[in-house]
Amino acid sequence: MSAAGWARARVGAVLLAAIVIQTTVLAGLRVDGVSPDLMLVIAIAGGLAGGPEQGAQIGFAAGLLTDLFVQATPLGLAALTLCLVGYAVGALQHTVLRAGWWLPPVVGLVGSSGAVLLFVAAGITVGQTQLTAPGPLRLFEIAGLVGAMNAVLAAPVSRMVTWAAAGSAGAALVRQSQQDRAAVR
Amino acid sequence: MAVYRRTARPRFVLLVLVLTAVTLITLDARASGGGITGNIRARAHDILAPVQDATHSVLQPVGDFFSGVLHYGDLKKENARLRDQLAQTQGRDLQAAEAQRESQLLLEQQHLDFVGAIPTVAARVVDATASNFEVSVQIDRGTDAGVGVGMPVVAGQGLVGRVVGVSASRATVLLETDASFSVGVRLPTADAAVAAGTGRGHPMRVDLVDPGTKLNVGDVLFTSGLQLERFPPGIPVGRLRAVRQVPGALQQDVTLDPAVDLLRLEFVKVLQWSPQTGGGGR
Repeated sequence: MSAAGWARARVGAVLLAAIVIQTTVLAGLRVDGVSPDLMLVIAIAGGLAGGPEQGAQIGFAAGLLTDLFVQATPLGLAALTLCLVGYAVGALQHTVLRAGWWLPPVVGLVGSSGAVLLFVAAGITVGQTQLTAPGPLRLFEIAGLVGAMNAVLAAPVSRMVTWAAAGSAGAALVRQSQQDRAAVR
Repeated sequence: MAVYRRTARPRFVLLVLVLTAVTLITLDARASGGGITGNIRARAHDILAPVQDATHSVLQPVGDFFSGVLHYGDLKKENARLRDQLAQTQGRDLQAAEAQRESQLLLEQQHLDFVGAIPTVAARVVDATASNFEVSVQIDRGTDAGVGVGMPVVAGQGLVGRVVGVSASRATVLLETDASFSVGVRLPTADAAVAAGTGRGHPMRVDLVDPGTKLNVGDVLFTSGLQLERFPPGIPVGRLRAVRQVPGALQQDVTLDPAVDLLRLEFVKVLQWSPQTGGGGR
């Protein structure tokens, strides 16, 4: 199998392990009724490790797995949200961000909070009005808590996804763009 | 110096993925829980179920540890409260036995026993949902045990929710506190109203209560079981938490605490009942 093929297999394995951990351990780990969203962290880490194209693909896969294990929202809603988030993080990574140790936690915090609100907005668009039932204040609270908890998960998860995606075309592009920016500096 | 060039390919990939997601959403909305997408979900649940069980037995202590750390204060307080409660309960045991005998007689007379002759399937709660926007649990029984979509789910004290998804070995139960859940209830005055969930850990809201209706905090509301209701009549839904008359409003502001402690569910019973097959309990 080629390096890219191995990368794909490793990312797939990471995704499967993540959905098992999310549905068994993290689902019960709630702060003020809110649990962290590991699949969302993986979408963000995918964008950081593989750029916009791979970020969108990994985000879509992570979202689809999430969708399979919820019932109240339609299949595809999390996939839509997470592929947009993966793409956005990947695009930012390519254009403006300078890599550093702080990058995954910060992007994890901002990206996750934004993703929760995006999920609700996308849900309302397709008629899932029950998503707004907790009220706007509680929605921002949920977004903030998910962001904070995901920021903690972001560093180790990002490292793992970077390892898994190594050897793929996207990872090569990210590395090249980092080298280019280093050369410009 | 190599310069990174943006190409149109990532945007094309994104477009394809977004369109796929939108197609899935449309398919799922049209199938409303069943159909192809329902089958895909069921298959995924069955495939992952053994892995989840194994993970549970290995990782649950870790999860319990963290959840214990996060809720240490709560646990201590709860321990004290429970000890207090136990002492009180032991004192009341004898009285309770008599009261229970009486109430049993009353229930039998009025045919209010909320399960009655409806066949049930006992199940264990294995997982809570991983979503922050859905209040549901996974139980360890599915179509193999005769569980079907739409069946009411109860626990010892009353209504828990209803089955919204089912695979061969698992079923998803939407709890009554979920924001998309609603149930017809009968008020003590025999008027009908609707109780609806508002989210995890929050009291339910009771709608359509006339401003003139007299209600007391602590009253128990039961499912109304009116025609085409999703639940058989007489299942305790919850206890009134607050009743407020709002001047000029068309209804009272009423909240309801679920009869069952939904945050600590362990065992539930699925009632093999549907509005079509009708009240097997009567």
